[in-house]
Amino acid sequence: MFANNSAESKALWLATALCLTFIVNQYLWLLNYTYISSLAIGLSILTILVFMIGAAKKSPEITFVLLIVCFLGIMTLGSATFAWDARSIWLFHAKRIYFDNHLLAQLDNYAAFSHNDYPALLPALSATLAKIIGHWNEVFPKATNVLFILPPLVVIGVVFTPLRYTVFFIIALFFMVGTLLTNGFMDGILSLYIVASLILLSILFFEWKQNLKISRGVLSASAMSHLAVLAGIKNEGTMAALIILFCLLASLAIDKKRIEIPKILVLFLPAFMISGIWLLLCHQYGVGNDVATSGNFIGTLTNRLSDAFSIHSIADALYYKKWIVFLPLCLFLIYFFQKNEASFKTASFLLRFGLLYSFSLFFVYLGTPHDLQWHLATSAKRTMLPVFLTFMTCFLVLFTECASKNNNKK
Amino acid sequence: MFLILSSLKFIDGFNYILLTQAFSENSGAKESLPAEIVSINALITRGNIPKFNLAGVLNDDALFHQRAVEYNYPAKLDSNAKDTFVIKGTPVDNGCKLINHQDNVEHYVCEQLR
Repeated sequence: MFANNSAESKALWLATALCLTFIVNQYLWLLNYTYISSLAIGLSILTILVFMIGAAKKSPEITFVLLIVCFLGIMTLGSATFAWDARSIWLFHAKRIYFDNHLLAQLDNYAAFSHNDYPALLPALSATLAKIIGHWNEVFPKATNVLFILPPLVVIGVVFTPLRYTVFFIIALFFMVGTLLTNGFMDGILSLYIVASLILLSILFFEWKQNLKISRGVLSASAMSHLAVLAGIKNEGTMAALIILFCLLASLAIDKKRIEIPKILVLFLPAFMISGIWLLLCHQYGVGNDVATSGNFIGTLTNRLSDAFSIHSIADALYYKKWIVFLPLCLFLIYFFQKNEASFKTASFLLRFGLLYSFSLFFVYLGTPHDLQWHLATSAKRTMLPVFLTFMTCFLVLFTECASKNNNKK
Repeated sequence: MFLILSSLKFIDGFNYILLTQAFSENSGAKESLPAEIVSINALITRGNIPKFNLAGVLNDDALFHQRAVEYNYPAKLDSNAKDTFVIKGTPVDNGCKLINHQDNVEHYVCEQLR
């Protein structure tokens, strides 16, 4: 199948195939469930993993990524699930799909506390895994999180070579995201898909990493599938995909590059179709989002805009974190780059996304109908993870470029 | 070195016994949930109850309430259900009849709780 491809190309194909399997699995649950469909999904995942091990033999970065995923898998299966959102939202939605044999089980709006409007891409795979082992338990369905982590980590392993840069990324990921990768929360996974999508789009549109032996077709398919999964993970994923699209168009315009509308449409369309279909279904079943529908979002937003304490609280919760140090580091490194360099353009694209995403979160918190202090205390640390991970990736992009320049001089 | 240090975060909540039971039916419940919720589930399973109600602390405390709802699914919480669970010692109406108990959770059948 991959006779003439490099190990990196094979790995990226397989990561794309894994993303597509996640999406197909979700829609299989819309049809009448059969044990055969779960078995087919299980077999496809197993086949992809076997091929991935084959690809890893020729790439130390992919081998390292697989070892990390194995480590996270063991940690996930050996840890109890007690995190609030993990149980009340994600595992519960998976359980509902498992027992009701249908993707839309949660749309009857039973137990409204579980945010029934949240997408079911990941819970659908948890339900499939439970069907494969034949029963429900409180540990194994969480293994889905680790399967979802694999494709974006493969992108990291393919792009950040040699091995020491992949290791740097993983160490930073562990320090920044930590157990949010294994305790059933979605925020760590969401951050990884955002970073992987940004990286793939940078290679496609800003001529970054032109030395990679990967065809544009594979890169495009991979970007498309990562964006599609991103939009299907949780509502913030759709917001992130929209901001990525805006930043891409803005960055291309600033760099005076040709904006290829059909190409961009093809890349983003599956993502917006997946979230569009889900939003339509929610609307049809009368299930709304708590932030958007309960209370007057615009009214609350304008009230809090004139309240210095609210603005200070949000700024403090969102930006007063140690990981914000990556932002000045990036700006410092950018200062040394020629403005026409691909790394500079990539870094600018990543920074624009990071800043705009954090401003969007700022506005969401301004308009939240919940008690502001409670909402910030329970979620700000997690919701800012994509921003800090993007800044860290931006730093790594610039740092690797500086290091390779210095090596070339020697 | 840094990789090992960063990995220590995951070791904290790791339980080897849970890993060995990762594929067993209903495993992880005792480690993940308050004991009262596991007791409610035992009573629901024993009585084959499709709909249940909660009262007292079990209903008022968000943690007990949400865990009871999600862990006991497909049995559903219904405010009109007669099968009601309370923590031992919670005052109940005179019309309620004690059916069963498990640890400090009691199972009543009643029309309405106080």
